[in-house]
This record gives sequence, structure tokens and C-alpha cells, in this order.
Amino acid sequence: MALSLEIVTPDGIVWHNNDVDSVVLPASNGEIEILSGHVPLITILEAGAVGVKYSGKEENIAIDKGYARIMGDVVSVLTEAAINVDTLNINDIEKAKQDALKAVEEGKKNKISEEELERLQSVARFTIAQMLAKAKRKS
Amino acid sequence: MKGMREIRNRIKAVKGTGQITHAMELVAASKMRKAQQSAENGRAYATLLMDMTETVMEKIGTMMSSKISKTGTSKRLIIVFSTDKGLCGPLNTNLFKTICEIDEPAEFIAIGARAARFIARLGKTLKAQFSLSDHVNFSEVRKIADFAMKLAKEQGDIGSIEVLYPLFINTLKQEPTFVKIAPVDDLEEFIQRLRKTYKLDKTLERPEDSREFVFEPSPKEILDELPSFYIKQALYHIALDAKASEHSARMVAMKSASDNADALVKTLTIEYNKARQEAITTEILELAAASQAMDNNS
Repeated sequence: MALSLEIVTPDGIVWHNNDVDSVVLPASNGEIEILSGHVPLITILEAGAVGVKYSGKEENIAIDKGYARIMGDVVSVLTEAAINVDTLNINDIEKAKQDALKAVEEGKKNKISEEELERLQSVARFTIAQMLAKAKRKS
Repeated sequence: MKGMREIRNRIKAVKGTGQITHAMELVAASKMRKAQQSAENGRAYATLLMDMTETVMEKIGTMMSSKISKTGTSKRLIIVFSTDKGLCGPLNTNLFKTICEIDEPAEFIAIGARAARFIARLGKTLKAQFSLSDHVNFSEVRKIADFAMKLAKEQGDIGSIEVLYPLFINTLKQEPTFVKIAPVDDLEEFIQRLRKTYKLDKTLERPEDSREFVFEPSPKEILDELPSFYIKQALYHIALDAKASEHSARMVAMKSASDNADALVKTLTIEYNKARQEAITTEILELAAASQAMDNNS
């Protein structure tokens, strides 16, 4: 029997498929692979990549911190941000990452306001998560 | 009676203004619908979050204590949702009235330029100012939530984080409302609120599975992380609500401005016609008087 996977963010359900073979989740205790018939589980997820295998294809979705619930062959991923890395260009992300890190550094030097620094750091964090997810797919 | 040209110019000006306000009304209406749509999109997230919490709660029974320590004086940290731009009727003014009524020591985070300016002018402590785009992103809200939570943690003398925003009741009515988002003493409160906003029934549809749940790393750790998700979700929802309020207030204000312009054009047109008729009458009179004078002379 096939799994179904849904990735839910505050902006709506961003990824949904009812015919998935396996799902790899970046759980806080390390990566776990979910196959059909898994015991009911609720786990904390770290920022990273969700790997999905379905009908011979493989896809990676970068997610931020969140939760996953596995219940009766339904995998529900709850996260605050998710993005399909296959549609991203690695060079773009690399550049975004460098820009973000540079902005953080400069911000620290020039003593910009705290909330601005906070914002820059979160941008940097998410770009790095995207890169990791993309790199993983390549390997 | 004013000159005809003067009246004509005024009619033109009023018509132009009416057109602008009418356009703004339509824009506000579409933005309002968008904000409401985004709120509806968040339904799946809210439902799942709630359902997960309940599953964990069933397992460990009680809820945990608040995360923010209650030592020292309990200052209030108030996040005020106002607008960046004006022309939205009494929306901001109503909020400011509520701010003026706060007597206890409080610190503020302003969303939107209007509130920032007002709080600064009152001489109250303004910790930060953010602004939201018209199409609110979750990441924009997260930034605000993270900042507020960090501030509360570092300062140590903040007793509660509250939000003051114009609650969307209907298109004609928005009411300044306080909502406490932290400390989270009881997630039950949040769950009840979510149920109310999304009108969810008591039972949620869950996939069939009767086996025992496994929690990783542990139910306690999962539960400890949950409040921050709730705070952000609540703040996001509030932001969307505030946006819907802003746009509907603007829509109503612009509608009455357009109506007013129409009425003004009507009166001015009547005045213009009167002036025109009067001018014609005067001309005829002059002509008649002149010809009579000529007849008399000959």
C-alpha cells in the first residue's frame, strides 16, 4: 500500500501526493525513512530536506523546523516554510547565501538595529537549508 | 452667483477626485478579499497543528507552565497593528484611543508607520517598528514574533505579550481588540480560539490507526516546542485579520468619499446650469434693452 504525504505551511498545503513509496524526514534524532505500515509517530523535524520517492521519481523539499505526524500511512509534515528545491538553481542559492551572510557580518560591524539583524540571520538560515537540500539531491 | 468657468473647473476637479477614490475603493476591496483568502489557506495548518497538540496532550495529560518567567514587575509588551497609509477612516484613531487608555507600564512594538509615530509622540517606549506588505507573508510575521519573544526573554521584566489590532467584525465594523499571545499558560485557550475562527467541529477527521503512538524525542520535548508555533500562527492570523480590517475600512471610507463626490457634482451641475441660464437671460435682456433704446432714438 502506498503512503500519502502532505506538507502543510501557514500559506496552505504546498505539497500533496497520495501515491508515495517512501519519505525521508530530517528528524531531530537523525534522518528517518518512512515506509508503508510505519507505527504512528510524532516527531520534531529540523530544518533540512524531505526526500520523497514516488512513481520512480525522487524529489526534495527544503523545510524549516517543524513536526511530522505519521498515522495510518498518512505522513503530515507541519512546517513554517517549505520550498521545492528541484525548481531552484544552485548558483542562485549560493549567491543568495553569500549575500545573506555578508549582510549579517556587515550588520554586526555597523551595529544595525537588532530586528534588522534578526531578519538577515533568518534569511541566511533558510538559504543554507535550501543549499543543503539541493546538494543532497545531487549526491 | 459664481462665474461659469469657476464652477466648471470645480466640477472637473471633484469628478477627478471621485474617480481616484472609486479606484481606491475597488483596489481595497480586492485586497481585502485576498487577505481573507490567505486566512482561509491557513486552515490546513491550524487544523494539523491543533490535532497534533491534542494527540500529544492526550498522551501526557497536563499542559506545561509558561516559558516566560514572571519575576519582577510585569510589564506588558504590546504589539500594535496599525496601517502604513492613512485614508482608512477611524481605524487608526480608534486604536490610538485604546492606547491612550493604557495606564500600566507597557512597551510597544509598532506594525505600520502610523502607530510608530503616534506612540513616539506620546513618549511611550517604542521597542521596534515593522511594516507589513499588503499581501502578508508568514515570514514577515515570524520575524516580528521572533523579535518579540527574544525581547521578552532578554529583558526579563515583561509579564505578557499582547496584541492590539482592529478585529474584523464585518465590512462596516472593526473593533480595537487585545489578544494575549504569551505567556502560554494553556494551549487550550489557543485551541478554542482556533476552533472559533475556523468554525471547526469537536471531532476532526483523522486517518485510521489504532496502534499506540510513538513520540520522538519525547512527548515533553515536543510539547515544549509547540507554544512558539502557536504564537506565530496566532500572530499570522491576527496580521491577516488586521489587513482585512484595514482594507475594508479603507473601502468604506473611499466609498463614502466617492458618494460624496457624486453628490457634490450633482449640486455643482445644478449651480452651473443656473449660472448658464442666468447668463443667457442677462444677454437677452441686454439685447432687448439695446434694441428698445435704438427704437426710441429713431
